[in-house]
Amino acid sequence: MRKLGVLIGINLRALLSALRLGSSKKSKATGIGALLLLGVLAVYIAGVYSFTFALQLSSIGLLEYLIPMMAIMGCLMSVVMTVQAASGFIFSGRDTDLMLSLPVSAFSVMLSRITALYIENLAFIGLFMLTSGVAGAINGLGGLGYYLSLVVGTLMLTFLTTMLTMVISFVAAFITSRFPHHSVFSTILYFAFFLLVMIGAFQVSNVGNLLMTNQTGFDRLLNGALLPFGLLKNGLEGNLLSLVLLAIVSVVPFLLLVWIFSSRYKQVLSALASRIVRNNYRLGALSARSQFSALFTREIKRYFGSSIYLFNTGFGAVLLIAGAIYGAFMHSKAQTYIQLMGGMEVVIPIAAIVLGFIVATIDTTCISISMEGKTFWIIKEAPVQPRAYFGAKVLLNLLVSWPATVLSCLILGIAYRAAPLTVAAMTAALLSLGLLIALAGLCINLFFPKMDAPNDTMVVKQSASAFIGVFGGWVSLGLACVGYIPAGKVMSFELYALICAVVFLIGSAALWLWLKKGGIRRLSSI
Amino acid sequence: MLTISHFSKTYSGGKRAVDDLSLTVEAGEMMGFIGHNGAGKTTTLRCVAGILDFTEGEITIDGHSIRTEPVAAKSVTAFLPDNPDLYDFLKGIDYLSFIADIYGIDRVTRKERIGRYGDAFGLTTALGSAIGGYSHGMKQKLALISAFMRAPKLLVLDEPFVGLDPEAAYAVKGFLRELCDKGGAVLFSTHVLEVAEKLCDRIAIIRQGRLIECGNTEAVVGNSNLESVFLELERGSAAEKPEEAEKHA
Repeated sequence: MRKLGVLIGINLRALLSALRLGSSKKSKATGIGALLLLGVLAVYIAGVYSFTFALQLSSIGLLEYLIPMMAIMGCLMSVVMTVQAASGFIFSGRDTDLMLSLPVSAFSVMLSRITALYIENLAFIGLFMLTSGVAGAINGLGGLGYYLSLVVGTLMLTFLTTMLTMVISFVAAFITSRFPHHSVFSTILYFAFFLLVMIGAFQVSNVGNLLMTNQTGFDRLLNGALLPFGLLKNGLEGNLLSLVLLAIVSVVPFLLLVWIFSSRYKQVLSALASRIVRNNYRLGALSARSQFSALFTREIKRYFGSSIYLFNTGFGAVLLIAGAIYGAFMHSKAQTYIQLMGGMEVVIPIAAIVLGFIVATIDTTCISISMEGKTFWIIKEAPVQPRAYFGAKVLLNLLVSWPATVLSCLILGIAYRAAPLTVAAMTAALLSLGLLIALAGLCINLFFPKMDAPNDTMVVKQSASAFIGVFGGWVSLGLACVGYIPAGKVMSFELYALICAVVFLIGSAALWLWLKKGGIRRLSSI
Repeated sequence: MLTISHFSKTYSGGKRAVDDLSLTVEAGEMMGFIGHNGAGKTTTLRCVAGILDFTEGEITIDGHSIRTEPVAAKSVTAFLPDNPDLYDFLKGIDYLSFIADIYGIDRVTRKERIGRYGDAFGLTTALGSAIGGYSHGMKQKLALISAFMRAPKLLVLDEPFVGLDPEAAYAVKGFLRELCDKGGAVLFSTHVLEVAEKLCDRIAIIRQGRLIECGNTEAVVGNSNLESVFLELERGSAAEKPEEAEKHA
């Protein structure tokens, strides 16, 4: 038991170390900042949805459904946020060989890793459920059973969430390891999974209507496929036996899964790690490229060689195009909403904000130096001009964000018959925002590099630079939005968008100038 | 070819890894760099290669300062770390092409050199596979091919024989000598003292960041062997400066 405790401690530290919770003040500050950001995100999302639903549901007398609904949402979000991390942490941790060579059972190793993952999930779901519980209490829910069920429900549902996370990440890792281009295949799988989750998330807003029109169907779901959430609902209504049942249906399958995985852990890891080295290569004619071209090609190959890197920074580009196509197809249906909102004059700025919000998520540069990891020595010892090195990284970011930005603006502009000047101004603002984000990301990564991460997942999902990069982009966009409130009264959207484009370009130029001097100094100090 | 003068390196935690080290490696010369674990060998080699930054002293390669003219200095240098982490997402041949592009090696020359060194290390037929699937030894060989392929004026190697099979180790020794015969310079660290004694023209011994011996191999070894000399020097140095040893510890 003591050994298990030590293993859990080590694995938790491995998870937390990705957030730079080191010994120095700077490390602690960035790590705590990243954790706080996660916490704020959980509280914000839970707060917005739970208070909105509470109002909707109490008006139709169905408030008792609030907590089960929020629990479903919280668990799904937690799966989304940890599924890729789980894949890297459980199935490809660099310390796996060391762990398995220790005089402890594979069961203990697996259990300790899953427990660490459980604690990470618990932190998110706990905050999510706490906020939802407050929303329920303010709107009239309460009593000992209510609070007890909240606590027990949070603890038990986290077991199920962790289990689901593990199964999805394992299936993805196992299937993709069987394919030659496994990174691309893995990315496609994750894209499909996330699209399903997003479709589900869009349906959440209709849940009030769904409950009103088909309460029996929803109850059937809670007593069937979503039984744990149904048991939680019964527990909230004071049925303590349901809570016991909830504990059983959560913990027993969890332990069973841990046992199944641990009994096959070594075989699973061997299967995932196996690579075939063929001995049939014949040296033929070789091509030569310029230094910049070689650096850029390397960036592209690294990008497509890491599914988590590709997925997390490329999802925005897919979303831009998919969203624009969906918007174009929904053109006739959307007309009613457009009129209700006040016509195209109001809708176009909102569309620009939404597109800008997505463009800000396409930030490859904020982690691209960290992605060099232990191979960084190759660049450091090579006679590479820092400008070419930075340029290749920025160009990759633009290659991902710019075509998708132009396409989405054109598709939406044509479908909704926007004036050419409007489309051009919006496109210019978004392209310059993309450039600013690419350059700012590089600067951020120079200040917060994470070169010692055991795998790509920790760099992409949990490094301070990744958080700051994306949220920094949103802050820039937010400032532009705030500026439009007074400016929109005295100038057209087109003029404001062009002014934003100029401001973003000036910001980009300033960042590039800094990169050429301060950036080179930072690079040599890493 | 390589001049290190009054070079010191202190890490951010305050640990002084190298203290006032000066040495030169002439063209056509092979120098062995010897010392205990943690003596400062790797730190020195990484600073020579431009991987680590430093503030005290000067390092010049072929007349170019690694600090103020890093690109010019690195253009004539090749470095091999003790544990070469390479790009797992590339095939072996793609990695070599990448290095060749960075160093501006033309198509014909790169093909000839990759073929020559690849065959010598028995790696040519595996170059079409992803590096992620290579063993440690194969990665070491690939890194060696990428270093020799550049025909550098200065070759810096950190424990180059670790993980190599006897055939590859023999080939490396031959290529190192050939490089020196053509006017290149080699600086390498090793714990295999027999290899250093047989292969090197000069030997430098470092202890706790300070150079305690440097000279021609024959002069350093004398009638004894390098192992005995090294151990004697280590003991002597520790006895002479006990307070300093404590300070470093």
